[in-house]
Order: sequence, then structure tokens, then C-alpha cells
Amino acid sequence: MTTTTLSTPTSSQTLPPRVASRAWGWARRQLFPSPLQALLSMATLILSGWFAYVALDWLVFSATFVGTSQADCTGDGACWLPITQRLGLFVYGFYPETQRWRVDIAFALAAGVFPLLYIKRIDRRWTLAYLVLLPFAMWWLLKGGPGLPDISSTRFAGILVTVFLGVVGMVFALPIGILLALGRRSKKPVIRVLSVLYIELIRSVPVITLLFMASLMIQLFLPSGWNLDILLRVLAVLVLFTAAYMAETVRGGLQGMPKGQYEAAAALGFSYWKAMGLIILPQVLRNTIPPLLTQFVGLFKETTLVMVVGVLDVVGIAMSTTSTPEWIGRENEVYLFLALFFFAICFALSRYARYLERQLEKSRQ
Amino acid sequence: MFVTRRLQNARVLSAVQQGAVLLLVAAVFYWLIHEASVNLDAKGIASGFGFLTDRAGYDITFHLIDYTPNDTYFRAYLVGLLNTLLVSLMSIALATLLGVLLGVCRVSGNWLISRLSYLLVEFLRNVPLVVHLIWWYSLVLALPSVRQAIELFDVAFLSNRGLTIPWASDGSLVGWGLLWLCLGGLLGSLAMGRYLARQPWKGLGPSRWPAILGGAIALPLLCYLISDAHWEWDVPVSHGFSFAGGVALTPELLALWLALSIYSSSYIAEIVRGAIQSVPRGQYEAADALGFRPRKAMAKLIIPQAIYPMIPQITSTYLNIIKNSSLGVVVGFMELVSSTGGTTLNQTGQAIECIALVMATYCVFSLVTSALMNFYNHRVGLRTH
Repeated sequence: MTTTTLSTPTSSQTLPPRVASRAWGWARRQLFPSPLQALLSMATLILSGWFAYVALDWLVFSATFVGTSQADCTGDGACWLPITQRLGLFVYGFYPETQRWRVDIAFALAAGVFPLLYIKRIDRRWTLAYLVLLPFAMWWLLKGGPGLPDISSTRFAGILVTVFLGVVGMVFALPIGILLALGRRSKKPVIRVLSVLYIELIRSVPVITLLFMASLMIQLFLPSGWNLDILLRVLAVLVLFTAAYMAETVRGGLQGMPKGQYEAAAALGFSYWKAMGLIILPQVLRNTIPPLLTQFVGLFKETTLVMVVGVLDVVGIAMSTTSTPEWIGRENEVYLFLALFFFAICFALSRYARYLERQLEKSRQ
Repeated sequence: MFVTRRLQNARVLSAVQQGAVLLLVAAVFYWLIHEASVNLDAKGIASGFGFLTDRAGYDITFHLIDYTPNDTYFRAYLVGLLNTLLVSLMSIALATLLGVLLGVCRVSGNWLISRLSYLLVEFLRNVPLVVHLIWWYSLVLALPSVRQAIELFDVAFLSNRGLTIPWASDGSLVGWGLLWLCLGGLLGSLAMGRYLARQPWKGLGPSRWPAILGGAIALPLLCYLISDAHWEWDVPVSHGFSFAGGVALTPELLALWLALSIYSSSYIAEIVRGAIQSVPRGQYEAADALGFRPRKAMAKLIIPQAIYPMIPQITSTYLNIIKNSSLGVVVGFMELVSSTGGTTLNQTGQAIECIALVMATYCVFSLVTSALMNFYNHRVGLRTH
């Protein structure tokens, strides 16, 4: 059996029959198949061991966890005080402390989407209803409205903004993306050309230019007196931007549908919208859940760009933390925290997407 | 009655629908433009690109062509454009190098190396580019001051003012030299391609090395020598508080370059891994059956087959690098977006023109790239499939 890799093929028959244990056999095959490989493995092992030791020492053993100000950072290692002291700011921004439970519920509602994608026993219509209601529920919880006191959106900051923009942006982008994908595959030339123009134009410019447009240009296009919240303007840009990318994902799904499905719908006398809504799209959407999740990960990372136009998301809070005189010189800790925050969420979601994809493949066979 | 029957005719209905959509889009555009012109008139801003010939009045620290605040906005735009291209090209080169290395490590048979590179790739790509960028920027700024600058091989200095490297004493000669080198390279690769294509079964083995070396190195060198564009190296010297000579890559450029390259290398690594793994298992087995050694099998069978499916994805990653270089605005590197879309816009108030100019430039990048891609697909895609 050849290995599919660069290593020398060490097949089982070349190994001596008296292998001490399975672990040793595995290590021999994987790590020490040849003198060169063994040398490489040893060097890597020593280097990574040394790195792990240094990193752990800095991160945990010599680090400061307890204290209130920069003066308490006496250890040689990391000083986690800027995070622990400002955790409330990082998570909730300037949200009033007595109202923070609303943010917690909004987070829980947003997180609730992901298990819903997995549980197959739930009727998909319920999932859809949940998705449709989610942005409004989040806005109601965060901003206030009937039954809840109003909170100014200038108090929104930190992870709250990041999650809000990511989740709400995704939910709103989905229908627009689907329409654009259908438009691109439409037989009507006007609709097709308009969709293609929109998708290609948006995909060929950086998000930052679109965000600049939202912050500096949109005011020019609106009648005087109309004043849209910067958070909503930025959200609109993220939605319009994500929709263009999503259209391509959905289009891939539409192209992957067997022709028989379209023909069957036509044979049953379904109109275009009925055929799409009842036969094609439900299947396409089920198949595109994993790529759409990957796209969500991308959007979640893109939301960090909003700090360029002055919206304080979690990156904005981190940058303001490192530039306050109180916590100056603690960039590494703050940015590492930031990186780990994004890594944890994005890595978990992309693993989840891969898992769902494998489940789909299994169910197809 | 007549009208309803007519509307039931599919073709008529479709035409009516399309007309309605077109009308709606036109109406929205008209409304937007109308509002914009009303608003602009109210603010007393004249529309049009006339402002591009006005004096810019702001300084750009890092510029590839001569630039002073007395130059025009158009010149500032050109400086920004060249800065975008420079940082993109630098990042493309470094990202490709790191990405291929990581990707190959990822498919290594050595368990330890493949796991470690997996972890690294996943960490790099799941952290937003902005976070990479601000972190690198803080690291570059935390470097020692000019007095205690880190000396690299006696020719370059690394300090919190960036990386100072040797450069030609007459910068314009470098451009001509590079041009001639590129010309030679083009000539060489054309000639080499012609020659190698005559006996494709020989692959790239030692018997072909003279031809390859001749095409890749000797011809460009010859062209360069003929061109007579020789320059003197101007090696930087530390003068305590500053450096004399050489050229300084500013901390902003350095941070953007490193962040962009390292972030994008994780994407390239994934592409390389996917491409190598997409080669059917039968090919490895066939190579084994034919008695190929693994390294030879890799070089002659696997990599040539893996390269073709990689090209479109790699191209879109490169395009993403160009687009992502717009993040220079975060650290204040004066590229296209921060010069024209930022400072020029703020000073002139010509929001629509400035953003349109920047967007149009990026559209040109992507149009050129897709044209090249189509050309490539036409040439190579047809032949291999």
C-alpha cells in the first residue's frame, strides 16, 4: 500500500514481525520511517516542545490574572488584567448594566440557529420561521420597543455589535442572495443582465470601499432630514455585499440540481414560483447549508472591518483598550484574546459545516 | 378581455415583466441621482472630476514616484495605486512561498508535521485579517528604536521606523533594469516553452536543465547586461538617530505586508493541499507499480496533475490579496483606499467621484485578471481536458 504522501512507503510487510506495541509501530511508521524523517521529526518535536513550554509559561504560569490595574502586572508573563477588568466592555459595550440580560438572551437566540440546522426531526418550516423572526427579535431585545425600554444604538459596542452584524446580516442576505441567484439563471435577459452586473460589481470591489460608501455617500443620496443610524447603514452594506457572494453559492446549488426535478415540476403544471418554492429551493437550501455556514464564518470575520467607519465592534474595543494610557503596552495579550475569540467561533463553525456536509453526503448515498 | 388574453401569452408577459423591472431600476437610479444633485447643490459642491488637477496638500510618507504635497490629487491617486500594487505583489510573492510550504507540510506523511501545519493553517485563516494586521503593526512598532536597530547581515536595519534596506542610488535605473529583466524573462520563457514542448515526455529531468537555466536565468541576465541599466547599491548606514542611504519600508507597509501574506498563505495552503489530494489514488498506485520513487512520482506525476485545478483558485486568492490590501487604511498605509478614498475625499468632499474612482480601479484589476484567466483556460484548459 503506498502512502498518498511524500514519505517513503513503509508498508506493513517491511516492518519486522515482532513489533513491540501498536503505538510504537504507529510512531515508527509515521514519525521515523527513514533516518531523514526521523531527524525531521525529532527536530520538530524538540522545537514544538520548547515553544509549548515558553508559550504556556507566558500564557499561564508566569501570568497575572488577579488585580485591578497595570501596577498589579508584576509577573514576567502575560498580564490578563486588561481583559478581565474590561470584560463587560468587550462583551456588552456601553450597554446599561441592569439591561444586560437582554443581550444575553439575544446571544442565546443567535446561537440557537446552529443546533436547529442539525436536528432533522424539526419541520424545516419552523427553522425558517425562526430565521425570519430572529433579526426582529434581536433588534427588539437590543434596541427596545414595546415592553422594553429604548437603548440608544450609540451604546452598542463590542461582541454585541459583532454578533448582531454577523447574524442579522446573514439572515437578511439569504433571501436577496436567493433572488439574485434565480435572477442570474433566469431566461429573461433584462433580469439576468442586471443580476450578473450587480453580483460581479460587488464581488470585484473591496468591502471597505462599500463601507466608506455607507458612511460617507449614502447621506448624499437620501433626502435631507432622513438620517439612518450608522449601525443600520453598515448592516445594509454587509447584507448587500454578502448577498452577492451568497448568490454564487446558491447558484452552484441550483446548477447541481438534477434536470429531472425541473422537468417533474413542469410536468405537474407548477408555475415558476411554485416549482422553485416547493420543489427546487428546499432541496438546494438543504444541500447548501454547509457552504452557507462557511460563508457565515467569512461574514463574521468581515464584520471586523466596520471599525474603519467608526462602529465600535470587538476589534474597536480592543484597539481602544490598547491605546488607553491605563493599559498601554499590553497589545499582545489583548490581540491574542481577540484572535482566540474569533478562532474559537470560526473554527468551531467551520468544523460544524464540514460535519454537516459529511452527514449530507451519507444521506445521499 | 383582449388585454387579459394578451397578458396570458407567455412572451408578452415576460416582456412586460422585464420592462417593469427595467423601469423600476431606472426610476430608483433617477431618484438617487436627483437627490444627490439636490444635496450637492445645497452643500455647494461641484460634481465632476475637475478636482483631480487641484493641489493635494497632504503628504504621503511612502511613495514610489516623486511626490510632494504640492502635487495634484491625481498624482496622489497614482501614488496610492502604485502602493496598492506594490504591497499586493510583495504579499502575493510571500504568501505563495509560505502557502506552498504549509500546504506541502499539510500532506506530509510525517504525522507531527502534518498536524502542526494543520493547526497553524486553521489558526491563521480563522482569525480576521484586521486582527492579524493590528497585531503585526503593534509588534513592528514595539521593535527597538533607531539607535538600537537590529542589524541584518550588515546591510539592513530593522527598527520601529520599519525596515531599511539597500537600494539603488538612482532609483529610475532600477525600473529600467527590472523592465529589461522582465523582457528577458518573457523571451526566455517563450523560447524555453517552445523547446521543452517539443519533447514533452522528457519532463523536467536533468537532461533539460541547461535549457531551463538558459531560458530562466541566462537570457534575462543577458538582456539586463545589454541594457546598461547598472546601478550602485546604496547601503544604509546608521547615524544614531536616523539612517543615511537605502530605502525604508515603513512600519505600516511592513505590517500590512506580513499580515496580508501570512493570512493569505493559509488559503493557499488549503488550495495546495486540496489539489494534491484531489489527484486520484490510482495515480499514486500506478506510479508505485511502475517503480517510481515517491519523490520522483511527486515531481513527475502528482504535481503536474495537481497544478491545473489549482490555478483558478490561486488566481482568486491573488485577487483577494489585492482587494484586502485596502486594509492599509486601518494602519494608515497610503494605498488606493486611504489616499483617494480617505484623505482626498475628506479634503474635497467629492465622495461620489472619489469612491467611484477607487471602485472603478478595483474593477479594472478584476477584469484584467479574469481576462487573463480566460486566456489561460483557453490555452491550457482545452489541452489538458
